[in-house]
Formats: sequence, structure tokens, C-alpha cells
Amino acid sequence: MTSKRNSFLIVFMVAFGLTAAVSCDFQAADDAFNDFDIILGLDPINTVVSGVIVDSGSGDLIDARLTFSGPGASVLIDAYSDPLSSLHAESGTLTFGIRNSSIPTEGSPVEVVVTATAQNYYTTSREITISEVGEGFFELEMTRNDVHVPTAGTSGLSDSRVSTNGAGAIQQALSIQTQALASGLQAQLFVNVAQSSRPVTGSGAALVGGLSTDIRVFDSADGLGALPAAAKKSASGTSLALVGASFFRMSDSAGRVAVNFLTGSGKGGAACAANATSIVLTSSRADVISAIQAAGGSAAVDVYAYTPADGHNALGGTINASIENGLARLELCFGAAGAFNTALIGDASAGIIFTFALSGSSVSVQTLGNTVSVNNPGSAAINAVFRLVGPGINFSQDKTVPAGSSTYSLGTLVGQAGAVSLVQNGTYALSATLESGAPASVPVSGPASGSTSITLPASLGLVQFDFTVTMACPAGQKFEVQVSESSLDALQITYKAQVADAKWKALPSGAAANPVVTSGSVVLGGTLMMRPNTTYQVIGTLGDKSGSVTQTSPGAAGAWKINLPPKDIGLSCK
Amino acid sequence: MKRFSCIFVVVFLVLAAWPANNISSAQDIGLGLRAGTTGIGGELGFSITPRLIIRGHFTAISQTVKEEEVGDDPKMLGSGKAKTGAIMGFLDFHPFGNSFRLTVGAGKNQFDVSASVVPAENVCFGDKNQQGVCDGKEMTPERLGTLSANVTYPSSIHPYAGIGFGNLAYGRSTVTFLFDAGVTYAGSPEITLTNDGLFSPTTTTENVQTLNDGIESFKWYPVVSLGLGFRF
Repeated sequence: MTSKRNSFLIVFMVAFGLTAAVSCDFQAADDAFNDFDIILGLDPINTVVSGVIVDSGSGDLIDARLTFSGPGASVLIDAYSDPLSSLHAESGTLTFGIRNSSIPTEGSPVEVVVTATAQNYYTTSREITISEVGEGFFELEMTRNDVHVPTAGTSGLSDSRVSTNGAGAIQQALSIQTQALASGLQAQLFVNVAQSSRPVTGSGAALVGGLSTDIRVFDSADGLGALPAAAKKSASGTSLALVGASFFRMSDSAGRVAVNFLTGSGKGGAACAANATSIVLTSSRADVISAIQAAGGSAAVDVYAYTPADGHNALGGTINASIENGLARLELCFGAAGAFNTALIGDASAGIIFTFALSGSSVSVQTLGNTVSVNNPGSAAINAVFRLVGPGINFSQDKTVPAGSSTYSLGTLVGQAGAVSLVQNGTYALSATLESGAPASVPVSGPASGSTSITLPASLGLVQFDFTVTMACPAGQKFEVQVSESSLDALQITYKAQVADAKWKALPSGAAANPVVTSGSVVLGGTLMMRPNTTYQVIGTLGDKSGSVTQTSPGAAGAWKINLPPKDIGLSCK
Repeated sequence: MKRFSCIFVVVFLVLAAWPANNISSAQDIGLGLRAGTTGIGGELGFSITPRLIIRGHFTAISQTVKEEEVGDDPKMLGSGKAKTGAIMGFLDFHPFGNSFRLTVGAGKNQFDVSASVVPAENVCFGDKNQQGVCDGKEMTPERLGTLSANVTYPSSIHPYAGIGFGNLAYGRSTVTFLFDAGVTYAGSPEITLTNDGLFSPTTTTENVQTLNDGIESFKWYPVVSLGLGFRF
């Protein structure tokens, strides 16, 4: 009996123990630990700004190095939430964020100055004003420092006819002039080289022998966009009302660069003395002419000398702008007692850009405080370029406008929050341009105060696409570093139609959905008004990394799916 | 290791079923010293009848692992601390009047398993170039933070069943050998992760569920214990 009971107990205990052992599923545990993902989670970024750096002539993207300054620079962060002070936008696109603790509003915008440097381009800056939480977008145009490169609103040339004798005196008088006034070019430059005048460097050394001269004119329409930003501001940071500008570089074979011409007597009456070398700029801009007329036919103009080599912008003197043959005319005379103090000019080795800014009692420094009501008659948010033009100013910014009516300050709308030189009773106009179709334009009676209303134009030729961009690993692979959705807040999509005059756009914040992230794919998209049957370049950018694809849009409204390689934005697969 | 533990349980359960000498003594209280899979400790037993003993039991043990390299992408340094122990009440039944007994009980297992890992090197967010230099953004270990893990069990009261040898509170000799083998039902363990840096999404319930699903079957904790009892 005892033996039977013991046998029963042995069986019972063995079964009991085996149950416990078998119930431990070691394979499942092993698989679970192998499948477990370590996921990186960067902080969410509530406000992301994307930008493109483009050639002002061709519209091509530029490999540029950017630095950030201004009052809002301290709150900038990169795509990974680290403080940001500089960035190399190798492919010409970039994104960055604003620290979440800083909440930009209309009343308290984040103002940043982006300065871009690129080989063969003028160093260029622009102010960016972010006035709301979400996404912002800017385009920074850079102008080639080669005067021959076609750029809207400018005209340039090289001349090698001027020469001096052994004593440095110019042997023969001649006039070097840029292209005649035309519809797309509203300024012309004449450099009148006087015989016997002596071109000298800043230290007084004479230029000897055959001289090379590069000149270029910038009108006060598109030409202002091609000017380096620092050339458009006074020492106090006020945006100047520039009638126009001229680039000038004269050098000899030894590399000496002229900053002055001696043996002239400067301005003598209405014109420069006969033996004075001069720069004459004429402008056909109606608002400029009207401003001069309003000042009694002769308006005071401050002359600045911006030297691209060192970024110095010197206020060297004041001249008068007059009306001649229906054109605004500005004449800058060189000479020992010239109207411009050339001693103030900085490093002229890369040439000098003389700018002409309306000044005097008819010009006041104010902010663009006019309240603008923007009416978007569509049913969805849409991107529009807002532009304010007036005597000597041309400010523009791309902004997403939600459906219905929205109110902005004029400065916020056109990306110019700082002080601006405004001409009393000047003619100012605000325009809004969509991706296609004619712009809508309204006069602005007082840019500094009052109110203005503008209705966006109909989105002609655009259809609505459910636009998605997918960045996915090949089948069976997943991202090497797993990330959370918030880690990709700074991932932005920009696009541009491959048609004339098209501009870069960003997915409007109101239309774009948050990225959907899995272990092997990121999908970003939104509802967009775009051109059908049109080739677009689409770029996904995360910080300073970007991937690009060119694809033709569908012929009708509906879904449009685009694929981009994730590796290009820094998400490698394994 | 866990597989070994489970097999160990089975072997000892078999051994425990062999018959032992009959019990014949008059003591009714005993103190024991214990060492086993729930740690080192002691117990106090009272005999209700010669065949029915009630025991109170306490054990504890902890093990610390200091900074060992774990994982390779990224390389991490892991350290951990595992503490186990039990405060239990047992009822021993000696069905044959000898030292062999069946034991049931309940109590609280003092399971406390925690571990933490920190990256041993910078993690590259993005591609590496041909020289192996990060072409994206490098995250330092300090920024990535520490990933901490903790294992808990759903119920704080855990039932126990097992067999054993030795009667702590009743027998002729003053000293007796004690042996127990059994299992505690602890329920499915649950891993929780926390992070003070960028590994936060790793710690979400959704992500950790993968691990918890994998260890769901580990509901039983094997108990093997040896001891020496002193009867009074």
C-alpha cells in the first residue's frame, strides 16, 4: 500500500514539476527580446521653419552656409532640438525649429536674420518673421557676384577700354553704360570716365595701364531682391528706401581696385564737373519719380557704399535726385572734393555697391503697422506670396492663409517686422500671388498705420491633390535608428513646378498632416492645390539633409503619391 | 538559466517522493535556517499534530551586476540588481508519518528585479560615411539618457505548493535536515521601462508589450530550499 502511494506521489510530482518547466516558454521570450525595438524620441517641435536658398537669376537651389542672428536667434533649434547658430544647406533647402518655450504670436513674433554665404554669390541676408505656431517658410535669393549672370531687375557688363598712363591719368574719356531701360529693367547705369581723372585705391595708389571695369545696375523693383540684405539697411538696421543701386569695380592688372577718381572737382551745379568721373543712375519707376516730384522735383538721397568683401555699408554723403526727361536721375561725382567721402569705404577688393536711399524730411522711419485683412475665398488653406512695393521698397514673403478671413500686420505679412524708411504720401501697393494666375493687388494708403483689405485671387488652373510623400525602406528592412513621430517634426516637404516664374512652396501647415512613422517608413502629406499635368520637383528636408524627386502631377484631382529615398534625409535602413 | 531552474525543480520533486524514516518524537516547536532559490533566511514551526506543522518563513537574497556590455547597435552598458525573497506561511502535512511532507502555503514574494542600460558610445542619427564617421547627428550618451527596467508581478500574495523532507517542529532529534521543492505562482511578470532622455518612446506601454508578451508564460517561480532545523 505504501509502495503504491509512493509511486502515485512520484508520478504526481513529476507531472507537477514538468508542468511548471514546460510552461516557461523560453523561445517566446528570446523572440520577444530580439524583436524589441529601441526607439529614439526627440522632443516635439511645435514651430518649424523651412527654407530654400535660390539663385536670384535661375531659381536654382544653392549650396549655402547659413548663420542665424537677430533677436530671435537664441530660440532657434535644429531638427534634433539642439541650439542652432549655423547650418550648411548643401542642397539648398533646410528646416529648423523654434524652442517650444517661445511661442510666436502676431504681437510677439520671433525675428531672425538669416545670412547666407555661397561661393560666387554675394553674401545675402534676410529677415524672417515668425508670428504663429506651426510651420513657416522662407525663400532667400542670392545673386551671383559675376556681373554677367542674368538676374531679374539687374543689368551688368565688363569693359576693358579704359586705360591710364604711367602717371595713372585716364587717357580717354568714355561712358560705360548698362542695358537700356525696358519693361523688366527699370534702372540704367552710366559710368562716365573723365579724361585725365586718376583712379586711386583707398590708400591713394594709382591704377596703371589697362583697366578692367565691371558694372551692374539694380533697379528698385526686382533688383532690390538681388541686393545683399546688408546693402539695404542703415547702420541702425532700418530698411532703406532705395531708388536703385550700382555695382562698380575697376582694377588694374596689379590687382589695385579704384575707390575714387582724383583730378575732378566733384559736383559743380546741376552736373558733375567736366573733368570728374561720375556714376549716373536713371530710374523709370513711377513710385520713385512720384516721390521726387512730391519733394518739389529734387529729393535728398543718401549714398551708401556697401563692400561685399567685408560687409561694410558706409553712408558717405548725400546727393539730390532730380527728374530729367521723365526719369529719376541720380549723379554721384568722384573727385578730391566729391560729394561722397570715399575714405569711409571698406574693403573694395570685391568691388563697391553704391546704393541710393531716399532721405530728407519727406522720409520717415516707421514700422509697417497697417492692419491687413486677408480674405481667402477657398475652402482650404493656401500659400500666397505677399509683396509690398513702393518708393524704394520691395518686400515679399510666402505665407499660408487659412480659409476665410485672417488679420495680420503688414510687416508680418511681407516679412518686414523692423523699421522701414517710408516716403510721405508715397504710393504703396500690396499684392498677393498664388501658384498660378494673376496677382491680386490693392493700394496701401499708409503702410505704417490704418487698415487694408485684400482678397486672394481665384486659384485658376489649380486642382486639389491628396498629396503624400513616402520615405520607406525596401521590403524586409527597417530604419537603423527607430524614431518616434515627434522626432520627425522638422521633416518638411517643399515643391516647385517646373514652369517659368514658379516659386518654391512648402506644404501649408493647415493642409499638411503630421508624419506617420513606422519602423520602416515615414509618410507625410496633405491636401494641396497644385497644377495638373505639370512636372514638379519635390524635396523632403530634415535639418540640412534632403532628398529630391522630379515627377509629373496627375491630370485630375485626387491622390498623388510620391516616393523619396529615406537615406537622403538621414534615415538609413538595415 | 531559467530553463535550468525549471528542470531542477522537476528533479527535486522526484527525489522528494522517496520514502523516509518514521517520525517519533515529542517536540512541538522548531527554528530553521534556510538557503534556496528564494534566498537565505529562517523559519519558525509549530506542530499542530505530529503530522500537521505550521511554519512561518522568511528569506531574502540580492544579486548585483555592474556595467557589462550589452547589445551592439548601439553598444550599451548594462547594470542590474535582482532581489528575491519570501515572507510565507506554510502548512506541512506528513501523510506517512515520516519526514516526507506535502506543503501548501501563501505569502509575499519579495521579487525586485531592476536593470539599467546607458549607451556606451554616441549614436549616429543618419548615415555614416565610408570612414565610419557620422554624417548625420550624433547623440551623446548623456543626451540619450538611461534606460531603466523594472519587473513586477500582478499579485502581491503568491500561493505555494510543494513537497519536502524534514519535520521542523516534531521529531526525536534536536537537529533535523530540511528540504523543500515546489513552485510559487506569481502570475505573469510585467516589465516596465523608464527613461530620462531620448529613449522615451522605447518605454511606451505599446512598445514594451512585445517584451511582456514574450515572458507571459513565466508565471511559476521554482522554489528549492535546503535547511537545518532545531527542535525545542
